[in-house]
Amino acid sequence: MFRTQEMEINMGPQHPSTHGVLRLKLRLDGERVIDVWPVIGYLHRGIEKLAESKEFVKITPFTDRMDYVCAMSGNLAYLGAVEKLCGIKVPEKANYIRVIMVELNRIASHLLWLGTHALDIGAMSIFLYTFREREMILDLFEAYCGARLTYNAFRISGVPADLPPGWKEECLGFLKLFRQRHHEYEQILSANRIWLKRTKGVGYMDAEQCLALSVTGPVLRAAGVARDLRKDEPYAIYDQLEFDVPVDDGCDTYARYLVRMAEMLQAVRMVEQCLEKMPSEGPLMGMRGRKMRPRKDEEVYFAIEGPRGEQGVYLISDGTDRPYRCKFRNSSFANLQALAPMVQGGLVADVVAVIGTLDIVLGDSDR
Amino acid sequence: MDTQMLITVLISLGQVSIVLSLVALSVPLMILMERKVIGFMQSRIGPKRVGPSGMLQTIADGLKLLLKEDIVPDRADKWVFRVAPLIVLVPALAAFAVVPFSGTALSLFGQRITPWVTDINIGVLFIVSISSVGVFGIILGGWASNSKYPLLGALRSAAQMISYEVPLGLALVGGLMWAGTASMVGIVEAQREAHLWFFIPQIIGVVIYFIAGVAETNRAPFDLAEAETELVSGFHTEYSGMRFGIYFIAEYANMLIVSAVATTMFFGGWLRPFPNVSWLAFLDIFNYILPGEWGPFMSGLMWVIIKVSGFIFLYYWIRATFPRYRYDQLMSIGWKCLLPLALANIMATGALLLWLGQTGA
Amino acid sequence: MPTDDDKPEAGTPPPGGAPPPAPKPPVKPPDPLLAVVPCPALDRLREMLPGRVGDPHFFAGEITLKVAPDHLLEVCRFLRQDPACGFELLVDLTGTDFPDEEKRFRVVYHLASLRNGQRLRLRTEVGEGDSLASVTPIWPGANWFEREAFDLLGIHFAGHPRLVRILMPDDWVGHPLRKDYPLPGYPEHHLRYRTADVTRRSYVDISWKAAGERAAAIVKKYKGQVGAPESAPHVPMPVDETSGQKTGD
Repeated sequence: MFRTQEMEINMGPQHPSTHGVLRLKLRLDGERVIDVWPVIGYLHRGIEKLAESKEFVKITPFTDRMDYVCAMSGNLAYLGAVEKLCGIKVPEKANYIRVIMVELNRIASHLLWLGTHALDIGAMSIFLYTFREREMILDLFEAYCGARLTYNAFRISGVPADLPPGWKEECLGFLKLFRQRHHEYEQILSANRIWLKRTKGVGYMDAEQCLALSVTGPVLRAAGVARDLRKDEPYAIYDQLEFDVPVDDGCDTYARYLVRMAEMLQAVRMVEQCLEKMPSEGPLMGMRGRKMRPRKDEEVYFAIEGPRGEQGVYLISDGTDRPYRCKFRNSSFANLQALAPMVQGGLVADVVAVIGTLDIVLGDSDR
Repeated sequence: MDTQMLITVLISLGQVSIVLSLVALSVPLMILMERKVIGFMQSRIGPKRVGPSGMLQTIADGLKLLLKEDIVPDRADKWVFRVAPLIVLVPALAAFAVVPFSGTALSLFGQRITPWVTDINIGVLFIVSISSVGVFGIILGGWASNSKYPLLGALRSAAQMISYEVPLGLALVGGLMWAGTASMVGIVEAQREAHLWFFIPQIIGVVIYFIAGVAETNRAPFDLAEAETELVSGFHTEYSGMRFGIYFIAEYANMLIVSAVATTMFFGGWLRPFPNVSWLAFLDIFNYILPGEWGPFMSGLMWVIIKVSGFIFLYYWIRATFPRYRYDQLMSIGWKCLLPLALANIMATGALLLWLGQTGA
Repeated sequence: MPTDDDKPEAGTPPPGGAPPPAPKPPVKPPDPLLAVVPCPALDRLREMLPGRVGDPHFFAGEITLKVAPDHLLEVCRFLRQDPACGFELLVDLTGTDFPDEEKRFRVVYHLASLRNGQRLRLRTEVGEGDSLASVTPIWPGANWFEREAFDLLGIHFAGHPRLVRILMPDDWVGHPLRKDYPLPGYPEHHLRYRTADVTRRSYVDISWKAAGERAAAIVKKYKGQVGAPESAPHVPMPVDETSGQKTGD
């Protein structure tokens, strides 16, 4: 007489919650999620195809626009790959500046993650607070390179400009303020009963499943695996910095929250060290000129630890100054595969929490 | 029908219209204050452009809603769709009939005009039961929209509201035991005679009542039914223009009712703090400014407004601070946490009153 | 009279200065980019599975191995399971189009071993109509990477659970990342996404069946026009993994 029917509901692509244009086809049994089929590609702009027709120097602005939340990391990944392919050395001071910018960008990216994740779960005020801090970082970036979101701040073999006068003091002032604000966020959320109830046990994925699904970054570190490319395969000057890699073995949303919060503090530590250790004089570019001539038919893969995970660039050269193939291995694309297993058997409200905890940026995923 | 009855009816109509217009005026003010108060808590200002410091914002919003296209979805059940918002609004407004706004009656033209529309001896029961009717409007609104998101939202909301009515009512029982009557006016009088506001012996009761009240009105952290980030807008997704406006007004009117009942039952209604301590009589400032009965009338009104505003501020504060509960956690709190506590409260209150009665205190 | 005593002793320089030494062939300094990288996994692989992989190519500290498509699964399984190799993480799976080669597509697998701290690149070639074995049984994370390679290049992976397009719309025709696909695309394909066709004012059926019907309607509508698609691309119906039945939703 009574028959229960599964309901297929569509979440997105425009939705107040999904970060970017992500469409989810949910199959529900009442409130329980039976299956989810993500549909991506709404933000696919053909960047890899475009890159095949442009010189190496002209591709850098594209890398800003893929993961627009942490554009400096995207720049660094690509430029590192080009420098590896052509065997170009980057001077020390330029590396310090690059690391400062990338770590500040990591803080900004995690702040955005925290704000939107908290907003999705219902704590609206955190969103405003994190964006207040993010504004300060964006002001610092604007003072350095003139842009707030898509920076194109680095060049092949270095950086174009030194830190402006007074920038260092302003940055240190911000970092001091940020430590205090970070403590406030922890006070609001980390022991909050409702936050714990919404995030503990939600989106469980252990280390073996993470590795099987090619998931890297804070998701993997929250599963107990201490994998961080800054420590395992150091690039730039990370081998000279003292920092810890936060690892938690909760494997759930709350563990990822703790890991990212701790990463913010580690990034603060790194920036302070860099500002202190950076040589005041030194060349900023390793080579001049725009024409790259890498060896013919060679390929490289260079990866950095972005805020979302392993961000890699795979280049195949054909001897000209344009790449034959430029593949961007972005973490959001790989991490999004983990959405379906994490969400099955949970409730609809958990879907939103899990999307937030995976920290997906659709520009990164779709390219 | 003799003249006296006609005059009584006219006075009642006058009272009803005054109360309704007061509610109609306070709802826009509440909406504006919510945006400003939450804005300040989030280190921003809130509306500031329309009118002096944003005072006319809600009027502008209301005007906008009135002028919007009234969209009725193609496949919606048209009549039910149109009627559903009213089913939520009317009970919310009707409950104001028994809320006392002040303590002293006025004598105008030889007639006695009370600061409440009516005082029935089952006032509390009336309010609780009338609020239950409001659930229908939500279910019907979601169902009539003929769309998945509103349906999900309506079902969640209906189950939530019905579940939380139980601890809501039971929390009030403790106060009723102290008051000895269910008449709203009688409860305040009982607090004056007992020399204490009932929140002191009923601290658990008032907390349970307020939490259940927040859940009844679908406000954060129990606002899953209209959670923007999860179900777009829940049961009022398909509503636009003034129909949506009516749902909105109904929500704020419900908040006012919950606050008014909490004020009356637990915080002394129109009484000043320590109403029987004579040297504190200066707190009723209007007694010294206005002549005759107008003084106590305005003082009582002032106290009611202050207390109700305090509760409304608490609503906003909670909304700005806490994340949202997931649906199953919400239900589990209502049934497994609040209900047993409310029952325990009743038993404890009964034991206490028995003991006090025996010791003749 | 010259005697033997007048001959200079062996070893002493001849009078008049030493003759200039013969020019030595120029010695190139060893190219740092082509330096050999020690890799225990590689040695183990060649020990246990001889002949399955070609000679390693070293560049910039990375190792690339060529594998024939027939041996791909075997090598991958070994690399994953053998403790000395232990490549748990498939970092990336990429396809590239070399239209001049006999086997058109080159598929590259980037592997990483967290416990042994190594990276490796495997390289196979596959032709246009051929299938490559899917590595999803070994690394489930290859799922979306293979879908992307199929979508953008047209490489077919045999054994993939559901090989459908991922980045391009479901009813797209053509593989954009191929070298003969023009950068601005085909204007006739863009025709099919005209606003008038895609704006909806009423409830849309989102099931797979309806999507297939919509694609067929578009094909019919643009029939006979220049560059019109021949047929609606086949969108395979989802199969319920547990029971093997078509869900047909």
